[in-house]
Amino acid sequence: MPDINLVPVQERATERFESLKKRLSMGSAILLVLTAVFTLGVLVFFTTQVSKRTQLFTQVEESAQTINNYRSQEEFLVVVKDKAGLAEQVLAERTDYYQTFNGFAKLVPQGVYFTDIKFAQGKISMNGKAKTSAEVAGLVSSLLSAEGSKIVSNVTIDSLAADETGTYTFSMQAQSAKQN
Amino acid sequence: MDLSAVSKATGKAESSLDIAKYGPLAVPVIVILVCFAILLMIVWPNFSQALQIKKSNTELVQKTDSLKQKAGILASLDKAELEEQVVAAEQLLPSDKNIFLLISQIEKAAAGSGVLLNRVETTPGPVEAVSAGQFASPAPSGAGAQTEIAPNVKVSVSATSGYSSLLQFLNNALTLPRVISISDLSVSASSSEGSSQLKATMNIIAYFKQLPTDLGSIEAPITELSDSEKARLKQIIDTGLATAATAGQIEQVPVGRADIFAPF
Repeated sequence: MPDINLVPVQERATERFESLKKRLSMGSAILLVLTAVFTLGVLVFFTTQVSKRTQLFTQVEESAQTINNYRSQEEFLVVVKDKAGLAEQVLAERTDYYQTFNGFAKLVPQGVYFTDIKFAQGKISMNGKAKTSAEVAGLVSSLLSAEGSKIVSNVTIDSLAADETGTYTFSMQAQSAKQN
Repeated sequence: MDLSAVSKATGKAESSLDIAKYGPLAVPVIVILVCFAILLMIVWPNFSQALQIKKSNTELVQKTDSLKQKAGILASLDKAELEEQVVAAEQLLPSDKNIFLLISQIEKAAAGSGVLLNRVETTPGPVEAVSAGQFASPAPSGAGAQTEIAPNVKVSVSATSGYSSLLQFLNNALTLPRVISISDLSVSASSSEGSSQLKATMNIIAYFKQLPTDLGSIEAPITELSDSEKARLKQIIDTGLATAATAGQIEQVPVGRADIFAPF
C-alpha cells in the first residue's frame, strides 16, 4: 500500500525541481541580458564622456592660445580699466564746487551776501549779511527748498543779529549734501 | 545473510543520484554569480568614473565658455585705440605722484582764470613712485572717504581773486585731465570794505595709481570699459592732451650756472 502513494510524491518533487530549474535559467538569462545591456550602456556613456573631455581640452587649449595672441590688448585693457575705474569712483564721490557755488548763487536772495563760506568734513559754515530779516528768511527758505536740499541739509542758524543800520549779520551751518 | 554491504552501496548510489540531480542548476547559478561579479567589480566602478568625468566636463564647459568669451572680447578690441586710451588713462591717474606736473597744471589753471596764487604748498615725500597700496600722505582731515580710494598727494593752495575768477579757477582745476578733488575749501571776502576781492584756501588732492604688475591667470575674467569710462577717456584724447609727445611733460628749463649762489 505505501508503494502506491510514492509515485505522485516523486512526480511532484520532479515538477518542483523542473520549475525551479526553469525559473533559475530564465532569471539567469534575463540577468545576463541586462548585464550585457548595462555594460554596453556604461561603455558608450564612458566613451562619450571621455571623447567630450578630449574635445573640451582641445577647445580650452585653442582659446588659451587665442588669448595669448591678444596678450598685449589684455595688458592695455587691464591698465586702462584699472585706472579709469578708479578715476570714475573718485569723480563720482568728489564735490564739484563750481556747481555748488552756481547752485548757491541761484538760491541766495538779492539782499544777502556772504562774508565767508567754509567747507570742511562734510559741513558748510556760512557767515554773511542781509538787508532785512526777511532776506535771511528768504535764504533759509531757499536752502530748505527742493533745489536747496540738493546742496545742503540740516541747516542751522547759529546767530542772527541786527546792527543800528538794520543790517542783519548771520552765521549758519549746514550739512553738505555730498560729503567732502 | 548480511545485506549491509548492499544497502551501503544502494545508499551511495542514491546520494550520487541526488547530487547529479542538481547539476543542471549549476550553470544558471554560475551565470548569475558572474553577472553580479561583473556588475559590482567592472560596471559600477566605470559608471562612477564616467559620472565624475561628466561632472568635470560640466566645469570644463563653463571654463571653455569663459575663455571663448574672453577671447571674443579681446579679439574685438582695437589695439591702436587701446594704446591711446592707455596714454589718456595715464593722464587721468598717473602711475606716480607727478607732483611738478600737478603744480604746473594748478598754476596754468590759476593763470587762465585770473586768480593770484598766494601760496602753493605740498609735502610730497619720496619723489619715486610708491607702491600701489602705499599712500603718499596721511589722510587729510577734510578729504573724507576719498583718500581711501587711492594713493594721493595733497597740495595746499591759497589764492586771491574776484568771485567769477575763483569760480573759473575751480572749474579749470576740476576739469584737469588728472583726477583731483578739492577739500577744506574756505572762501572769505577781503577785509577792506567795498572790495570785491576774495581770499580762498583749499587742499587739492591729486590721485595716482601704479601700473598693475600681474595680469593674473589666463582664466581671470576681463571687464570691458563702461560707457562713462570710454567717454571720459575720449574726452581726454579729443583734447589732444593724450598724445605721447605731450603726455606727462613739464616745461623744459635751460640748465647750467657759473655761480650757483648768485640770485636769479
